[in-house]
Amino acid sequence: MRILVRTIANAKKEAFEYQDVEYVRDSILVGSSSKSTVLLEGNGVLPNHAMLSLRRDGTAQIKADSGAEVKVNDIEQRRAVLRVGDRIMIATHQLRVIEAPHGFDLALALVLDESVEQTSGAKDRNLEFPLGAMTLKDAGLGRRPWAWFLMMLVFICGFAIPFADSLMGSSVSATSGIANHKMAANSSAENKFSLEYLQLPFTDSIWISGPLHSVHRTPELRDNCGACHQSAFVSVEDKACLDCHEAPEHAVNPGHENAFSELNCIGCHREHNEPSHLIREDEALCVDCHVNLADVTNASSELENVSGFDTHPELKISLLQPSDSGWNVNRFTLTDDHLKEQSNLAFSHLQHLNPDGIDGPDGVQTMACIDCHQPEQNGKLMQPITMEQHCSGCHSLAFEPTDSERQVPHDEPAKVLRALEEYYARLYAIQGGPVESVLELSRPAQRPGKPPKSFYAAMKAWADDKALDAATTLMEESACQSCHQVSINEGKLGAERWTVLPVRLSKVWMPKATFDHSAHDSMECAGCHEAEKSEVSSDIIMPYLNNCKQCHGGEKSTMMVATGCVGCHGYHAEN
Amino acid sequence: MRVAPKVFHQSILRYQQYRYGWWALGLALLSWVIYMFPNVEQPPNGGSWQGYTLGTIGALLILWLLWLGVRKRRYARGSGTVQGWVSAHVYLGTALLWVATLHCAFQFGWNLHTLAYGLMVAVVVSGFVGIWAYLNIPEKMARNRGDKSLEDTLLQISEVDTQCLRIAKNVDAEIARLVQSALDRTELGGGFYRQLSGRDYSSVEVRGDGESSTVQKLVRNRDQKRVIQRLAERQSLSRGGEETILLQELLWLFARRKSLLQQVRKDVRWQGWLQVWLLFHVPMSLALLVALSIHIFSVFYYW
Repeated sequence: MRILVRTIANAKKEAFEYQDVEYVRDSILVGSSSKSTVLLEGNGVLPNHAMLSLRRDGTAQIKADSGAEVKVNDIEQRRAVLRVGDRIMIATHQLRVIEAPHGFDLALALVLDESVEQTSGAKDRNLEFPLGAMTLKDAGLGRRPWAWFLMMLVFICGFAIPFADSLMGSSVSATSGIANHKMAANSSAENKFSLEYLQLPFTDSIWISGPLHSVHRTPELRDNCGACHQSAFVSVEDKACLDCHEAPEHAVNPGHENAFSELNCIGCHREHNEPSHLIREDEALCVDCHVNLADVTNASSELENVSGFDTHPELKISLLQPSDSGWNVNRFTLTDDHLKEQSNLAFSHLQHLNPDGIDGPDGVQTMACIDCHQPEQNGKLMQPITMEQHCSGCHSLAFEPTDSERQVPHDEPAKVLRALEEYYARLYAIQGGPVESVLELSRPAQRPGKPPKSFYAAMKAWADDKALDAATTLMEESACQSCHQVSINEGKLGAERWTVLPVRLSKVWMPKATFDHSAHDSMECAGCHEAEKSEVSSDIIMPYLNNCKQCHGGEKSTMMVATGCVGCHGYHAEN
Repeated sequence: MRVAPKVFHQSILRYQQYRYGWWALGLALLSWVIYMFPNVEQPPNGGSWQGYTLGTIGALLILWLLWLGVRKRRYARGSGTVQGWVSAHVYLGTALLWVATLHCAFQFGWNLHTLAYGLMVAVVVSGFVGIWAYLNIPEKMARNRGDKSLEDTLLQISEVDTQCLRIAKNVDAEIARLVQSALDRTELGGGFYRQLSGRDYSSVEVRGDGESSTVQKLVRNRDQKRVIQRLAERQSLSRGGEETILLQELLWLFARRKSLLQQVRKDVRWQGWLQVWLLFHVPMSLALLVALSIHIFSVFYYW
């Protein structure tokens, strides 16, 4: 059938417009769906609101969709036969049946309710050219696909792959540490082979929160988060550190365990920091407890409280003191009264450092500290002083005026005496009789046959006598007396006549500090050690704290060398 | 018409005498104080108590900023006005740059955490582009559109086209063909670049050189220049009478068509620029949400 639909716009105004559209089809659908022949909008218009069709007798009929409201001449009807002049209301739009022009079976006048916004008015325009996308969304650039794409990308790269890697890696490292890791590396060779197929483009190291400290950038650790992070959602535990490192001393001081029970390794040693800061150096590390040690240690500590460099108590030294059973090390404060070193060495720094010089084998020579005190290889402390290395150049142990090359060993009296006896016996044997001077030994003994027994007795008597004389001179008058305290045991014979008190020099005066001489090598020795005024070896010429304070200040000092506790003390230092 | 949109959009920044600007400044200062709080245990970083505090503030801020996407979809519901929310969104989003930078303590690396930071920066910077767009484009759009909608202008074009065809038929076959081709080959809208550049890619088929040439060649017809040029040539050759009048009418119609098409292109272009920053802002903010979640998960997974 041929149907004419005349759409009337501006119906209420004088200059109304109409548009005729002709349809050739069996029925026309009126509704809001895009399939509708006559498209209506607004509230109350259903997608397939009503269907208009011709009956066999040539009259038109309207049929409302279920739930759709259609009024014909103000009466709601589900189905109605239409006649010219009928007024159909579909929601707020009016459809009138008008006289069909020649050749048409039905003509309808549609008076649109123009209060309903015509969002799809474009349907009415008839552009000669195809219209491209007018919005980014129409151009396929919606936000939603982008958003999903980016979210999935971040999820896969940022989570799925690294998490898969961490789960795969856990078979290697979760059991704990490097030791197991190494074992697992061998035992899981087959395992790894099977995982080759699952080779991931990158690892969970993209979760790293900052660079590893350079000391930890080892093959076992750098790509293996699980080596240290052994349990998920648990911060790194001490056992992870102890897989490689020794248990620290400080934390296990006998009697102080409680003070450290709540401290763990990562409490102080933080990884992945920038700048790399694996070791805490702030005063609070120590002072938090040391400001009031009594509380922390239940009054069991002998150490004084300290709140920082400025309140540091006077320095203490470890002093060697002779006792019946050997040498004891006792701690003293430098300011203690009558503090004396008891090394049993007779020595005067004043004498040796005389700026006018001192008699030496090659004449008068001026000595400097470095002649005897030479730093160890690491430059921190000084090498031990030995007679052979540092004293014997001047202090000769020669005993025979006519043979100044020969010296007794620097040893105990019995060994000295034995060496002397052997020396003189040999001279007698060569000479075949007493020798007055080594210079006379030019005539070799040429007596055939064995000497008589009396020869040996005479030789021993002569040699013993000469040896005892020489030893007495050494012990009681010359060489030994220069440096050692030799006591004479009257009534005793031979070597037992003399007792030489043992000498022991302190190697480390301040073992609780990590002093570094090389860091101070721009200074004069006398800047700290007043050796030039020391006349006796019992003087203790270690510097007081005030001496340090000339240059050093607390950790926040801006005008001095800022010095925190660990500038001198080690946290994990042995007790 | 000129002033109204500008006042409305500027008021997003000036809302309640810069109320949220002051809030953002306060937040930035608070973050700075937290950041500067002495920490002797380690250098500033996301794992210190200051880092966790700033990180929590930043994460909550991001969630709240994302919530604008939900809030604006329910215009009348929820607390405050959408305008107030947008104002706070702009200022607090800017403050987020500072909060997040202090949270990470200026530490960056090739890792997921810096990816999250980078996405955050990209989202905020694209937001700045959006502020610029919202402060400048609506006024230009309003000036371009006048009181018509885009649909009105398209209808006008359609009307002009109908008239062009009707008149062209009455001149001669060549002009009818020229006009039909100019109409058929008009390009309006299109892809990303065409929309944002506003360039005209229209073309037209014109008769080849020479009086009797029958060869048609396709040439650019930017801003209807070529067709107008051809019509003007024809008019200059015309001997007066009806043909001259019809050609004059066509010239007038194509001039109008040109300005209408330009108006549509500008409208599409401004509309595109008003939207394009959101193509970055919104998807990246959602990607940021994913990256942020992984960031939080990963730092506690490998605590």
